Amino acid sequence: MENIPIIELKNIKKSFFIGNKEIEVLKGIDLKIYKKESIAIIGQSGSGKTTLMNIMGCMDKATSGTYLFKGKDITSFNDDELSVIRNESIGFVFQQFHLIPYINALDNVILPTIYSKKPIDNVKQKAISLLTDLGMKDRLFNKPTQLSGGQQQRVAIARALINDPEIILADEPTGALDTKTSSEIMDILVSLNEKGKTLIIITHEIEIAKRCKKIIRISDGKII
Amino acid sequence: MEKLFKIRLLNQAFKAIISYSLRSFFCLIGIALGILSITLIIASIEGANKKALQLFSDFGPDAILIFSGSEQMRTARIRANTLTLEDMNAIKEYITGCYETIPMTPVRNMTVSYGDKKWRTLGVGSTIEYFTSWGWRISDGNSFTQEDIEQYNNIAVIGQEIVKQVFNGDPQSAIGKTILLNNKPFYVAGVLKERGISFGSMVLDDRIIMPITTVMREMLNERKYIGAIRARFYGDLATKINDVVELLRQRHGLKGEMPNDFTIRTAEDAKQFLLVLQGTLVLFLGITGSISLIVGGFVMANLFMISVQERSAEIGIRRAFGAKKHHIILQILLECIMISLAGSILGLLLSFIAGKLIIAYTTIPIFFSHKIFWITALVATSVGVISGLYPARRAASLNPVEALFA
Repeated sequence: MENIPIIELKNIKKSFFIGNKEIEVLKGIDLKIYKKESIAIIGQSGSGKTTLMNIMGCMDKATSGTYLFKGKDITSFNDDELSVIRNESIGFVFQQFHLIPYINALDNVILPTIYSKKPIDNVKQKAISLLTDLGMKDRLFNKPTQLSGGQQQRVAIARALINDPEIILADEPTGALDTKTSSEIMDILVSLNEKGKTLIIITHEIEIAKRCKKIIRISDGKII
Repeated sequence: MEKLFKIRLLNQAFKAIISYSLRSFFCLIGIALGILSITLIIASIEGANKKALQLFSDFGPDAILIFSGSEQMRTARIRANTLTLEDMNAIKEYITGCYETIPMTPVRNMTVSYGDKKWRTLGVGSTIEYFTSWGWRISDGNSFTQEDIEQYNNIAVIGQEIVKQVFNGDPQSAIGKTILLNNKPFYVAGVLKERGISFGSMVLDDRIIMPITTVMREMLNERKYIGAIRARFYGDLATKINDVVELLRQRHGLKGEMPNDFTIRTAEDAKQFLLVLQGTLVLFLGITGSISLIVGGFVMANLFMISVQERSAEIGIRRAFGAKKHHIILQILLECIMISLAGSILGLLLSFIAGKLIIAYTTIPIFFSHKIFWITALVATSVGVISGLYPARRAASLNPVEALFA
């Protein structure tokens, strides 16, 4: 099993049109990520790392190339099928936390289960225990605006974990946090990897990237 | 599982409605006003139908009313005297199946005075059969008798409206009193039981019944002509009407092309009259109701379009965590439907209040039946779906990446 990558990208290209001008953001990415790995993808802004993350996270489709997910070709999957992969196998952590502002921490954590077909017993209990593990026991019923940045990111991590995905995909997870909080959040992410999650972190900070076992550098749409 | 899922989405929609309360409120008001009008339309149609049915049975489906004067003269409000007691007796005698005839002579704008109270009402001179034939019961005191008719007695039976206006609503206090009718003293023998029905601007309870003989001789100084004849028949009413027309034409010496100098009305005509009256209201409310529902729907569609743009991050988040397009569509639709259902409940409540006011201050019949609930629920759901559909599809078509990072 270990020799089948959980994510395998073959010659992935992505271009956007700005007006009539075609801009190639990814210029042929080949990448294999194995289960339980921890990988940092590092690059300057404009390097194409966010586009790469969106494609790996099944939020966007490549212009050309092949995407194998757990050995299965999902290149031509439709919107609904990609939604199921995002729901079951990928937990996102974003720079801006992206919590829904009008529901409390607990409801934000439960959100991914709303769209899940697989039955989960005691969703609420599970969400509470996830939040408790992340030190958010006293903040269950707070709205995101009543939480600090670090606390919001903890809620976001709990949300990423609720459906037991294999992969945690974090896009600049510490980008909006101070140094101390950043290192706390990184500790949490690293410990998740130690407990068996595949961890992919997109960042431009080498200090953050160094917390991962493997670093991939991306520049001008290519891995270097 | 599927059911559980729907409840969860419903819950999400509900939370969104509560958080975007101002948006929800405006949508809700628009829908409520539309539903208010629609509900009143239905209630007034049902009220009219119910009243028409009542009127139909009050008038008597086997009865006709013959007035003096031609159709044209009646429309022009020219009063003519053409019917006589002899005409009435002839109908009873010669038309087979005729089992009852009653003469009636109106005294329009008759003044009633008692003490310092004054009132204008409709006086009716008739026979003792008047009460049973029209279904009037005596609530207090007695009717006048055949003897009163033969002796031209100044005796009257008054309606509840008179009791209300002249005797402070106490029927017992009216019995035995002497009132002045067009300045002639009349003894109050009895009070009619309340009907509570009105007929356009005419309140049925606003009337005073007197012996026809007294009315003709004492009040109108009329020896020959009577105002109207009520006749009831066994058998097919249409053929009886033809027989009556023929008989009266012959008696009045009308030949060939000459128009009838009398007019015949049936329960059917009375019903028509009421429905025409109601028609104006229905038209008015129908137009305003439809307009406010359309406007309400547009307001909702518009506000949701803006809302979808505002909430694009939320939609992006939901998509990132596995929401399919139809989940997003369903949530927005559910929000719209819930708002319009809430609006329709508010509209219903308002219409109950408005209905009470209409009943209290106008003569328009209003009747709320269970049908109204189903119709408003249906209308509200359709408005919700129609106005939510475009914003919902727009929301679902947002690219998750663009929605998140916009």
